[in-house]
Amino acid sequence: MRAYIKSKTFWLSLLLFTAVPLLILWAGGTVSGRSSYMETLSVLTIVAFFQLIGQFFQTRGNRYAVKELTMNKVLKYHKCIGYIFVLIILFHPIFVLIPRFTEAGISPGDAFITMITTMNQGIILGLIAWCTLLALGVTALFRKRLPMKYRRWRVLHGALAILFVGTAAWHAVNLGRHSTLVMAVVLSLLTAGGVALLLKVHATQKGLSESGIEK
Amino acid sequence: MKTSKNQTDISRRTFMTIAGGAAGIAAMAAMGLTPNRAEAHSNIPKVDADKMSSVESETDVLVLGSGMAGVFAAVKAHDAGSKVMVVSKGRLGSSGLTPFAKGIFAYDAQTATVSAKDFLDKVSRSALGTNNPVYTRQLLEHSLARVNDLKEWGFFASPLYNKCFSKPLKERNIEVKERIVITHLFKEKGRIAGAAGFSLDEEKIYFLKARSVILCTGSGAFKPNGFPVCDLTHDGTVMAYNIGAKVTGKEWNDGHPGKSKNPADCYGGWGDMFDQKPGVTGVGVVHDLGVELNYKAYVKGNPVSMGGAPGQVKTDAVAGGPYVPAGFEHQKPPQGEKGQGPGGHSAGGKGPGGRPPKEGGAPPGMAGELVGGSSAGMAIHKSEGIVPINDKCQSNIPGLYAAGDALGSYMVGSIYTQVGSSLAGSAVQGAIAGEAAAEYSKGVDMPEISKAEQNRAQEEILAPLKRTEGYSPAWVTQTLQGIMIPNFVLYIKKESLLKAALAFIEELRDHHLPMLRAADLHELRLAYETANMITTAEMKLKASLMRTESRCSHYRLDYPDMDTKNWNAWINIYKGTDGSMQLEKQPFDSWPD
Amino acid sequence: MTIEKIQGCIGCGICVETCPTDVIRQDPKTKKAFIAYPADCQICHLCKMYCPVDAITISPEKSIPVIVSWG
Ligand SMILES: Cc1cc2nc3c(=O)[nH]c(=O)nc-3n(C[C@H](O)[C@H](O)[C@H](O)COP(=O)(O)OP(=O)(O)OC[C@H]3O[C@@H](n4cnc5c(N)ncnc54)[C@H](O)[C@@H]3O)c2cc1C
Ligand code: SF4
Ligand code: SF4
Repeated sequence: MRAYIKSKTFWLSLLLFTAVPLLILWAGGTVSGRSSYMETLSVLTIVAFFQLIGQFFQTRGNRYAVKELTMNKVLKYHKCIGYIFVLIILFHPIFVLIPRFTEAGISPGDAFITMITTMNQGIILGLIAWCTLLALGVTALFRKRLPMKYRRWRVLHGALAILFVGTAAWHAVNLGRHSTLVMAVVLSLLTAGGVALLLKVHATQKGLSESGIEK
Repeated sequence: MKTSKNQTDISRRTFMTIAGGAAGIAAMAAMGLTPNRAEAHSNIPKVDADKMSSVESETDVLVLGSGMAGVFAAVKAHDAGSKVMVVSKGRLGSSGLTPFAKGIFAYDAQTATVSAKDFLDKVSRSALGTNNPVYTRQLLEHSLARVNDLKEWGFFASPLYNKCFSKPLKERNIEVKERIVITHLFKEKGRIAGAAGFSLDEEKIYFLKARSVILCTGSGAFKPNGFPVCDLTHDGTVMAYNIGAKVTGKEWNDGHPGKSKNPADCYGGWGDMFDQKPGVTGVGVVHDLGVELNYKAYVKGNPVSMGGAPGQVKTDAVAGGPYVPAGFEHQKPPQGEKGQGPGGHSAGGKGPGGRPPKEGGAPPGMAGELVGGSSAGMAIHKSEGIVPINDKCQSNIPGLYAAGDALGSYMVGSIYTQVGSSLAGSAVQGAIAGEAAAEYSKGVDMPEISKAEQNRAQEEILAPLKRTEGYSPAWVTQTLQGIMIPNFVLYIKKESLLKAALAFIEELRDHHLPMLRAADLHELRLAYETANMITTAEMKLKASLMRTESRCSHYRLDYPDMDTKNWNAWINIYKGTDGSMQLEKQPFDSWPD
Repeated sequence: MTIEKIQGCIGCGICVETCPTDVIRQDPKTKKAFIAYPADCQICHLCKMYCPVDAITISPEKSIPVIVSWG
């Protein structure tokens, strides 16, 4: 842990995937008007999504990080960050419903039904992204029990990741409470960067030694 | 319909530029301009009036309005065997006053500590004879059954009423058309024939043929600030008046004050009442929310605030002013939170949704300094509206019924006498009107609305869209508010000022009403509502001039006393054969001829 | 000023139906709700209470001084 916190990789990712979104939120001035816990949850969701985009960079494709920290460690943090923020993102539709529990209005159940049955572009994308993310999480958690070779699994993992990040970013830009032009541009750039990195790894098929992976 | 998004942007930008300084805003307000509609631009209709299509349909019983009265009218007319259609300019359970009322009265003869007779006597005493005991008794006899219906529909489970109102209508397959503004009623061969109006969303005019029509269109006001009544402008009353129905109660007032800080904030002004689930109230006869506070403000000036008693001033009550009958001077401090709002009634029962009532003090949100006129243009519920000719909510036009706030039933008189009775009264009367209308419909055949009448209505509906020059409804409305809302016009009245105000209103009626213009369907609604407010203002001023006494919520400085010799009577208003407004007296305890 | 902003709208259209004074409209293409006639908002909060995702922010002020009976 120590080594990680001291590493440049850590600081750089902190800057890119935490400080940058917070800065955009602050500058955009969209975070206001609601109860502080709701605003906090909003911000948490956004930061969580940025962390998931950051996952593309916590991989072997990030040669700089691997060099600094060893693949073993990079992978450890990839997993650790992954599980935490995947959970947050999986739960975020429920966050949106919290005011329907705490404030007067329609019932949370009715709100949820309206939410998932509104056949709007952003909602459909969100539903696809959510299912993909669930699949990502489950296939990662139970990788060893899957009747699948590691390489095949990696292709699956990568494919799901691309599907997820693409639909989720689009969903976020379309529906996000704090989606502004700047936010949309930064989100798209980071997403594109991450996907490019992943594709590069798969294209070059480099570094496919199994070292440190089957742990 | 296409609404351009630019409109908001433009209006905001205009607002920003204009609102450079607070002084600028104040100056604009003084001129009667809203920042958003300030520019004197010519009318560029976004809706092509010539492309409006028309839709026709027919039903046995046509229910206009989708509040408490409308739901019960529809359900009971259906259950009595009629084909029913509900049409509302808003959404079911989310328009009119119904969404904001949280206390509903129920009288259970089995458990009540007050006998029916004592209750009726007490109401009459508090109402100084202005109530119609037939309707008061009806409330007593039917309220429990209606509350039980509501329980079954899940009314008490949520602060919002759309879902529970949908339930009985869906179960019965009753068609509900929302966001259609009804503007005309049709009378053919001396009886009701149907209604017409336009959609807020599509370029469509609706012609609805019906054997009978029930007006559940609620009350209305001058789009005041601080009371959620801005969607209602006595439309039903004016429509019915136009085809010959008699109208009553225009001299009475509802004396709701608002908070002086953010007076337009209905939600905040009512504390957390809008957030609450509804609850049941028991017997609690009061004499409330007339114009006592207005009188105090008139004599003393600001600041006025509510004392410990609802609708009354605790400390140093000023001399004179509205007469409060013996035994009703000072009510016990409010115990609940579902009274009628800032300065509202106390609630007799337990808190809504079973919540323990708040301790003592003022009803929700009414602490602090108050301003008047938050419900300007509205009278005590059930004291103004269509004149009933019998106990069946029937008007003087065969086939036309009214229920709830749209009916001038004088259920509790011309002052609030029973907490929570407004909601209950709408439910009770809706049910009675529904059954009566269904019964009537069985005996008559489907009427025809003549082509000529249809064309005339269509022309009238579209006229504001077709005008290239004229007055914007927002400006005319603000001008009317400036004339009618000040304390010394409708609240603390005297002949000279009533006449002066009438001169202004007649100017609006003769010159501005015929020149109202609208750029889109939203503005078309505003134009129509503005016209109704002008007619209402004329009625209110004329009835106030005619009633040369003071009683309940009508107070005249020049006639401060009650005159039981000449004025044990209601005032009815109707359209004379020459189209002019006629007023007549109807003695208490009698039905119209 | 009255109804202030709509953020995170999913386009269900419920607030448009719900508003008694017809303040809110939906963009025909994106389906998003927008504030079309803010001057007519009566600050009743119904739209906010019916919105499934709490997208609507309302402030208690009106942008112009309002007409009251005394002051
Ligand atoms: C803030 C507040 C608190 C209140 N508290 C209480 C309380 O605690 N207890 C109590 O008993 N009462 C209370 N009341 C009063 C009570 O709400 C009303 O008396 C009652 O709800 C009236 O019901 P209604 O069905 O007669 O009319 P409304 O509920 O006013 O319904 C009118 C209907 O008519 C429709 N309509 C109007 N014009 C047209 C048109 N031109 N075309 C088509 N449709 C039209 C509207 O869309 C609406 O659906 C309160 C009122 C307010 C505003
Ligand atoms: S607060 Fe009330 S009036 Fe204002 S937009 Fe919402 S529903 Fe409409
Ligand atoms: S109710 Fe909420 S989510 Fe639905 S259209 Fe309105 S603002 Fe959007």
